[in-house]
Amino acid sequence: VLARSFRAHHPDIPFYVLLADEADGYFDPDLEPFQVIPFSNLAIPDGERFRFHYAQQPLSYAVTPFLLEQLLDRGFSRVIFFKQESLVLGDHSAVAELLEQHPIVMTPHLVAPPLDGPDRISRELNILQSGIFNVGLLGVAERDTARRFLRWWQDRVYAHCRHAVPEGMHYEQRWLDLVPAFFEGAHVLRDPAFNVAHWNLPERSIETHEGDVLVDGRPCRLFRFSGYDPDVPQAPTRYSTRLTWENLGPARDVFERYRRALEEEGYQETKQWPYAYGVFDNGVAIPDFVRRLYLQSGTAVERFGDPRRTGTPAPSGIDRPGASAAWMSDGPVKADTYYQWLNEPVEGSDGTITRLWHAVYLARTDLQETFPDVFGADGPGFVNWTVGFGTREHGFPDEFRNPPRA
Amino acid sequence: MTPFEASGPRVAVATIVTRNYLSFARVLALSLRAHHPHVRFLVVVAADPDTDWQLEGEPFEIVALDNLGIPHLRRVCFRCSRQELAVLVKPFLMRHLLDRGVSGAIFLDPDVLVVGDLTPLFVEVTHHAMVLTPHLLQPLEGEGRIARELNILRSGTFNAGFVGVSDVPASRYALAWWQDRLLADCTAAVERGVYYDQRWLDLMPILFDDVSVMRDAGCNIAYWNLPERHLQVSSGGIILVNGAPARFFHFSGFEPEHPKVPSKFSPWRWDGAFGQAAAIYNQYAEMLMAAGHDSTSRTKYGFDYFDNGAPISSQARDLYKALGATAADFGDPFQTNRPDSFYRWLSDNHPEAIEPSPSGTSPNTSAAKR
Repeated sequence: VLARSFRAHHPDIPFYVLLADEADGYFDPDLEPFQVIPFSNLAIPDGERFRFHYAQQPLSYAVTPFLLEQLLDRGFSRVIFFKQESLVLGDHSAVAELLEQHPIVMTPHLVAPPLDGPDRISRELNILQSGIFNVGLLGVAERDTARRFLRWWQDRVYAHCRHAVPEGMHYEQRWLDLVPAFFEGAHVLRDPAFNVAHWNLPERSIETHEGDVLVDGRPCRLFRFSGYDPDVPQAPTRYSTRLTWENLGPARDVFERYRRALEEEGYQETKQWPYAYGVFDNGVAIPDFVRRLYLQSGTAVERFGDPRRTGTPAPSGIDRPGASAAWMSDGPVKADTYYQWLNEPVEGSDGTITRLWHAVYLARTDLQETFPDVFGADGPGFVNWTVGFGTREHGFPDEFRNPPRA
Repeated sequence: MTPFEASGPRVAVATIVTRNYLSFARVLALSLRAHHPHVRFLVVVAADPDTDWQLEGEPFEIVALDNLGIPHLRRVCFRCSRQELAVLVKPFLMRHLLDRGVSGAIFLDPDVLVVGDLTPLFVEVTHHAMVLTPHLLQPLEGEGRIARELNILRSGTFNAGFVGVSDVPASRYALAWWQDRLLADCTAAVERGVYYDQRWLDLMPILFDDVSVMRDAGCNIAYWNLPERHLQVSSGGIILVNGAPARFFHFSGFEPEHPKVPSKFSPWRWDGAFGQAAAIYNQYAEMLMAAGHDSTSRTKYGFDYFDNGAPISSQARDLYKALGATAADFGDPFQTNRPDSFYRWLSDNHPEAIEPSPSGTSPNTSAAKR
């Protein structure tokens, strides 16, 4: 939908899509209205390890600076990034022109203080928690400053692209707060026609005339549908309850138009396609806790290479031809994959507690209080907890059950 | 003499202290005077004028706290901690300076030391609605790079130890907005997106017109950027940073009692890593001591006591805050002798929140006169 909306205004500018996934025969990239850049084309050091750091959504955020650099590497002098859930409604030549003067162009969430009212402060605090600038639109030009910016952003999101507000992190986005301080000439595009979205709709007056969308009386350039689910059309965004279908006003037409376009482009079918990087190579789902543990384990897990590799046969019911290896669990570290390492008995235990469940134990003070002697008298109680409550609370697949299988 | 002094655009510099920080204001005043003898320097002493002693013979002009137009001042002074009050006063002080007719107003934290020519700052301030200085000026390198940048993301891109405004509608609009936000929230609550007055500054460049980000390595030299600011002191005593003139240091978290510790907010210690910075910090400690730090640092904070001398516990402050708008019904919350006072309400409903008065204090004797 985004590609077609862009082409309607700029038919001669190539439109690329980074696939943070695999086509896996579900669609033919050659038939799409855009050029597909496969994940493997990105110059990401240890890309298979990086890919394991994040679940589906954060991974798609974290690859942004790598995609931008890839396009500069392909020889484009100016590159504009649009986030996926957007509709181009007008001409973007102004951004392209700004990129002749500036190495970086960013768009803020707000361009003026929110209207007076009891929620003015909570709305601003939301922005302070998630980042001053919105990555819905971001431009870079082929200049040394932009290259330095992208390399810096890549380094930061490589392992720090999480939702962790108390740590100063909000995915890839909060890092951009530092850009005006770090990079000379970074331009802030304070134009209400761009990045119209739930966080600024109360301040922007929307009119629709025969397909044209006006913002404060001027043509809208980019409309964003952050948190919008076409299957729940009465909620403009899942991120806020302030905005409802009832108080949406004329912007309803835009949401309805977007919903219809998504339906026409196969939303109902594509939403069911699996995410290739969401599972180990034996088909077992990768829990978020396992991703976090991998990130925190640093060099200790480097030697396993691609952490999705299991070296184990596919569990019954999951068809993964080609995956087979002996399962080893007796004795100290014998694992040659991360998956095996997780499922091995942790050093110090009597063999009934895996490294994964011990990591859960270390992450939770409530468990440490309930089962203080986890390698001794409290061991059986803890293992019992993992089998019942633990597995349910953490949503671990059955393959991670405790005690480890021999 | 620059045009900012005798004639032409007039710039005033100001700071806010509680009385235990008076020595810092004195040192700042003298350092500013050494480089800009004709620039006015004003100080708000965030203290209770009824109970705290009068100041005379200081090297600066005093601006009374109750002259700044802070709404419900007594209630605000009760509600805020010492540090919260000091930051909340800032936009009120800056508007007050504009109302006095200056064309540029600069706020400096009291723990700032002017070490060079500020003329480029005066120029920037009079040419823009607002001027801010970032904590860091370039991506960090080395082992601790990410942890140090995250620390800045938690506390704010810009350092609120320097804020400059000129008298234009955009800056008055921005100051009114900042006042409103600080009255609502000026605590340290990183998880909510608040860090005193400072994180609000992150929004200034996007919400208001003509906010300038001054990326000058000579400004706001402090523990958070020392590794990137290479310092040299010439034989004539001129301080250079990365080869250009240093303008002002910001000794955030520095305690002259512990001159070997650059900042209580940082684990760094002088170990030869920061060039001649240790000598500069040492010299600053000596200036503070010469300005009476030993005695001023011991003075009490008047807003920490009810008017009967009983200390205000943090629990009492929290209970008062939690009452929200209804707290207005108690009138002046420091007063204890009225039957409808907050103190009486506290004694009746939360006696555990009342700390005993220090011995020898009789009711209605102000704490600060002791």
